[in-house]
This record gives sequence, C-alpha cells and structure tokens, in this order.
Amino acid sequence: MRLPKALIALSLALASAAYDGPAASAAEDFFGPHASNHTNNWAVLVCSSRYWFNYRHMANALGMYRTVKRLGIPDSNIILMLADDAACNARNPYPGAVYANAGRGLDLYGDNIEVDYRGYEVTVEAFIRLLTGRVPPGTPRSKRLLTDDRSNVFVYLTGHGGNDFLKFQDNEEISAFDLADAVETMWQKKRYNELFLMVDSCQATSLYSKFYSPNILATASSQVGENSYSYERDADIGVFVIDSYTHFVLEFLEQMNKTSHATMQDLFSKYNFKQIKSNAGVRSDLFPRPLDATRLTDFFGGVAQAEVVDAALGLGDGGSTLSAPNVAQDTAWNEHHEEQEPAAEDEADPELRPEGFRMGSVVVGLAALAGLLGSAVWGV
Amino acid sequence: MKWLIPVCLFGAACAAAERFDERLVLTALPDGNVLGHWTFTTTLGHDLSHAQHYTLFPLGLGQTLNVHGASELHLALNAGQWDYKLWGSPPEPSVASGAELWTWIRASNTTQADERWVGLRNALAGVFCASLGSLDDQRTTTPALSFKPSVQLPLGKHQLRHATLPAEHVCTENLTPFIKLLPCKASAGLAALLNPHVLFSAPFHGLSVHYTHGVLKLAVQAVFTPPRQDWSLNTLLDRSIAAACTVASSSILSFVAAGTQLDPQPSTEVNGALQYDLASATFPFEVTVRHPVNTISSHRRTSPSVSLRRTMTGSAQYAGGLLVQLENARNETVRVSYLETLPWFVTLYLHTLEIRVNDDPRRRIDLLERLSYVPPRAPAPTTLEPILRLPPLSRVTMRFQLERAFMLYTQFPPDAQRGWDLPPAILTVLPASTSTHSERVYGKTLLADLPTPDFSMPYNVALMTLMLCGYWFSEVFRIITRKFVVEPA
Repeated sequence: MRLPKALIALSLALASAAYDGPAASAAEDFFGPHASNHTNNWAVLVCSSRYWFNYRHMANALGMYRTVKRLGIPDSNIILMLADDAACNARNPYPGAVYANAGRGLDLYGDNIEVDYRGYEVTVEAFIRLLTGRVPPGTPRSKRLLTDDRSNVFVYLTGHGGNDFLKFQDNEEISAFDLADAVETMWQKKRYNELFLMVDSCQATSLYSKFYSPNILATASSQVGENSYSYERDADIGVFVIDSYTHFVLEFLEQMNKTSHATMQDLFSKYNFKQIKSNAGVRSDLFPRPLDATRLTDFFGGVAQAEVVDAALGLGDGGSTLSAPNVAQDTAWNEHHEEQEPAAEDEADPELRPEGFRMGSVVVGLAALAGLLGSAVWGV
Repeated sequence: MKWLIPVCLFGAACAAAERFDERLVLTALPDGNVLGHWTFTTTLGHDLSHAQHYTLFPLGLGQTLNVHGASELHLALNAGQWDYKLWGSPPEPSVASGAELWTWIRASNTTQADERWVGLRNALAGVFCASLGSLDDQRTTTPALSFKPSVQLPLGKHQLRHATLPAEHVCTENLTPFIKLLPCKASAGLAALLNPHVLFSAPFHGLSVHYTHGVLKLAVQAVFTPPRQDWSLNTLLDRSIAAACTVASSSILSFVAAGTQLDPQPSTEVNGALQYDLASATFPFEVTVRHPVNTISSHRRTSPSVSLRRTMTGSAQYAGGLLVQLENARNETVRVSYLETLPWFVTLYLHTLEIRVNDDPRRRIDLLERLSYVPPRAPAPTTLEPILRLPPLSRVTMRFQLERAFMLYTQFPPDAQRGWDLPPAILTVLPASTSTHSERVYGKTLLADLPTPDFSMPYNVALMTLMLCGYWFSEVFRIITRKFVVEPA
C-alpha cells in the first residue's frame, strides 16, 4: 500500500503546487496566457541567388544566420542554404568575409560557420524535400530538418521574386502554390508547431498568399507589383551589400537579446515605407495567437533547456537545504536571472548551460520534494 | 575471441596508446612566398573496428569511417593552382583545385562497395560542409593503376572509389568542421594559427584528410605571400599561439629558410630545418624571421621529374581535341601512368590517339606500354589510363579527338554558359623499383564549352505554338458555329 499512498501524495502535492502556490502564479505570469508551447526552435535560411552581383542576398541570409545564432538557435538547428559562395569568390577583395554594411564593420562569415547546402545543391527540389522531410536516403543529419510537432520553424527566403514565385539559382522557380503545399505536408506530417515565414524579394507578399495550413505567421518585404530595393553599396566590394527590408529587420533585432520580451507586433508596427522603401506586408489570419503576445524569440531564439539539478530534488543530504525562500523570492529571482543571461554566445550549447533553468523546473522540483516528504510521513 | 580479453582488460593501456602529434613547417619559397604545411596526426594504435572508445580520435569521423568500411581514405579540398616548377613537389600530393576523394572500401562485392561509397560520401558531405554528396555515378571511377593503397590494407576484399569535383569551393565552412576534429580546436597549439581570412586569401590553399589503418592525418597546406621580406607569425598569419595544446605528444614548429635569423633562437636544428618545441616555449609564442641585408634566402624544393600540360584544342563547340604534353626532365627513361577522366558528355575517340616525341613527326605508339580504358556509359565517365615510357629529356605529346554531346534541356547546370569543369588529369610516376614511392602530379582542370541552347527559347516556342493553335482553333470555331444571315436592306 505504500506506493499508491506515495502516488496520491505526489499528485496532491503537484496539484497544490501547480494551482495554488505562489510559484504557480509566478510561472503563469512568466509564460503568459498566450505563451507558445514549443520545445525546440529551427531556422531554415535560404539565399536562392547565384552570381557575385547578388552578394546582397548572401549577406541577407548570413545576417539572419548571425542573428538567430546570437539569439540562441544552435548551428545544429539552423539549415543554411547559400546558392553561391560570396565569401571565397574570386571577385571578393576580402576573402573569407561577407559584409552587410558599407563601412565593413561586421564580418558575417566569421571564423565559425556551417553552410549546410551550398552552390548547385540549393535547388527548389532540395528545399521542398528539406521542408517535407522526404530527403534521399543517406542524407546527413546536417541536411535534414529534424523537426516535430513542438518545433517552431523560422523560414527566411531571399532572392529574386515575382508575382507568386521566387527564383532559385536564376534558373528555376518555386511557386507560392508549391510552398503552400509543402507547408501543408509539413503540417500533416506533424513537422511544426508554428511556422514563421519571412521573405525579402520583389513582390514578396505573393509568396505567402497561397498558404492554407494552420499556425502560420508570414511577413514579406514588398506588395504585389512592388519592387524590393537594396540598401547600400560598398565601394571596395563594388556591389550592393544588403537589402533594405532585411537591413531594417536586422537593425531591429540587433537591440534584442535572448531574454527579450519584444513581440512580433513591436516589429511589424515599426514597418515604414521611408526606411524599407517598399510596403512590407504581414499575414496573420492563420496564426492563432495575438501578435502582441507572440515574442520574437519564439522564432528567432532558441528554447533554453530546463536543467534540473540534483540538489533541487532533495536527494541525499542536500534535501534539507531546499525550502520555501526559493519560492518566495521567485519573481525577484526571475528578473535577476534575466539580467544575468549572457547576451551573445557563439557556441550555444543549451544542454550544458544551467542558466536555462526555468520556473517550470522549480515547480516540478518542489512538487517532487513535497511528494517524497508526504510519502515518508504517511508511508511509515 | 580469447586473445581479445587481455586487450580489453587493459583498456587504459589502449587509451594511452592513442597519441596526437602536430607539426607546422614554414618553408621560404624561391619566389618570396612562404609555404605553410600543418599536419595533425592522431594515432589510434589499433584499427577502427575495435571498441570505439576514443580519447583523441574524432568520434564522428571514426564512426563514419567504420560504418562505411573505409579502410583507407583521402579527401582534399583545394583552391588555386599549385606551381610545380616554382614551388616544387607539394607536401600533400593532392593539389587539384576543387574536391578529390578516394578511398579503399572493404566490401565483399561491387554492390556493397557502391552502397558504402554512397553512404560515405554523403556522411563526409555532412561532416565537412562540402558538396561531396554530388560525387555520384557521373564522377566516380575506379582507376586501376594510379591509386595504390599507401599501407597494407587490412584483411578482406577491398575496392577503390575515386571521384573529383573540380568546381567545388573551399571556404570557412569547410575549415570550421575541420578544426572541430582537432582535440584542442583552434584555441591552443598550432591550429591557433589557422586564420580563415589569411588562409583563404593565399594564392594556393588546401585542406586534406587522410586515414590509413588507425592513423588520421589532417593537413593544411597554403602558400602565403608575406607583406614584407622580414616577417613574423603575426604579420604572416595575423595570429599568434596563446598556449600549447597539452594533449599533444609533440608540437613542433619548424622553419626551412636557409640564411635567415630567427628570434627567439630555435631549440634544435634537424636537416637544415630550425625547430621549436611548443612544449618548452613561452607564451604567447611568436617568431620573427629576419633576412640579413642583400641575401635572398630560399629553399629550393625538388620538383617532380615529369611535368604535365593539358589543353583543349579546336574552336567548335561540338568537336574538338585534347592535347597532353608530358615532359621528362630526367636523363633516363621514366615510366608513368596517365589518368584521364572525362564525363560522359565528352566522348573521346581512342582510335585518334597520336603519340609523338619532341618535334618528330613520326608516331611513337611503341611508347605506350599498356592501356586501360573504360568507355563512357552514361552517366558513368570515361576512364583512360595508359602507361607510357618517356624517353630521357624529352617532351611526349598525346592527342585525342573529342566530341561533346548535345544535352537535354534539364541536364544543364544553372550557370551553363560558364562551361563544365573537367576533372584534372593525374600523372603517376611509377617507381623504378618497388622500394621507392610513386609520385603523383596533377594537371590543371579544364573548362569544356558545350553546345548550350538559348534557355528562353523553349518558352518562346511554347508561346508561339500555343498562340498559333489558339488562333487556328478560334478561327475554325468561329467559322463553323457562326450563323450567316442576310439582313434585309
């Protein structure tokens, strides 16, 4: 009879801890009523243009790569597709470097980069196979989108587009219908929880116009019939280095860090013709959550893994040291914790970082402790 | 199995047998450039098929090689042209621009070998962020003579697979995973000097991976142009070494530059090379190389005795020729095997083969000792591998006639106007006796210009045809359905 009693005690403790305790309300405040329930983040960043004069498209995708990496998505969860090699191109006066501003302030290629699909490998077929998971047998892990129904997927596309299509390699096109069907296949195969599409091309909004699957948020640089323009050129590189829309988004994201509470609405409401030089669009009719409750880090950032340390479970002698003060101070800890979060890490390895400790683990840890105590009292 | 037990009982001893050695040789070249050659050797002490408890050997690569049965593997990723005349024989023989992969696969039959080859190239593509997955049937060959195993292969049947990807770029995304295979990464030891920005600006640079029987050698070779005549590690490579890699059994930095003054003083001199042992160095480690006034110091490296030149002839897109010139600089007859790999869409006519010596108009087919030829069966390429005897101090010219295929619209790559990169020709100098090692010389990659259509034409044709069909249909429809009525005046 000892075991059922212990179980009852545990469930009672769980229930009381989860619904009544101060920790529970703190946790609820922290996550919010419209919090995303994803457990992992993926990013698919595609530059679909070949040739040196499309340097800016490479820089767009690499700028986005740097940002999502900075905000906590590890390289293993980023699929970077670059249709040409700008960094080691014979025409690049700065080999091994790609810059996205005229002063060449920040090298986007850096010392640590993993390009998963490059050159001729970047095709419409490869992209659709990647999304839908129908890759040829023997495809290495780095070339697969290993998402599940708890994955938030960020898809960024840049290249030359037109009404209802985006050109790949200046040779073939993906149509808005293909993309919508690929995403529907993803949904049916439970390959995403929420999907966020961002497109920087001419007539970019046409690319998301055919979507019909749930939980999709989409934004794009220009309306149908409208061009998307580049931002600036560098005299030494000799070509335009970034597009206006991506430059605007990256500038905005540059102010964010991993713990930012900024929402999609914050980004979208900043859209203006003067800076972007085109009318950027947003499509949110398929997206269930309010945009002002959808954090940018739900898509641009990585989920910090909950790491439950042994001490919190009260195993061994350390058990007595755990008590109520943790719970009483949780809100304060929470705020403190956010300030402490490192802003940028190159080698993001969430499993090794105890900073990823969230309120949820405190609740579970305390509940388990209460359960153990309960079973000890009643079981004897 | 009994003999295995004592081996596994002393697992600690097995682990201790694993060792990592690193070495960097900087050589002053006659043209003022500096050749840098890094080698990182991990010795496992036993074969990969034993227990996979590695301490220093990279686990990801070890498992990949083991699963796909690669008993010997050589991968090279290069950019630039190696100048054999000026720079001598390269320390790593594979210098063809682009990617080259060759491996001896343990397999009982060809089907199994092919399966393992597919798995291996895809896995390596994932490990090194390179398009090695494209080394498909169009590019894979099994040359009979040029690629012998460099050490005795383990027991069991083995098959060779060789493939090149001449248009492959080499960049930071290849160096990043390469560095991640090293026990100290780039944070300590000689790998700290691998600065991608400097490395990829070098006129020639290449990464290579060699695996032979429990020994993994990762190598980088590059020809750097020093900014001034007097240089230091920092001015040449824009990096200095902050700490020694403590797990390295040996960590040697060696300078081959006669008549130069080095600061600090090197610890030893071995065969004219001035060496520093990083284990006993002070950090941050920096060496300055000074040249006394009016001395040009360089180390003349031995060039291969045979050189190779290959050109495409003919101006037509459809037909053309291939001209191969082999020059023997030695005062004795040299036996060489020449390997020509041509994709299926470039057809070589063997009956047009002409061999001549110097300017002598006579045909010298007698110089051809043996010929191995695999005709193209699309998508498999042609493999032509003659063994030739080159007379002393002579230039032997081989000519072939070629025909280039008309390809289907969908078979063209996105940048079809650029042309196709043909795989490099490889010349192997066959050793006079079995004791000496054979030497390989790589030719330049060629660009084949194929008949290329105007890619907008199919759209024009389709639109025109549809327009005419539509017009014809509407006219017929109008005539047969219209009711003609005479209106009363």
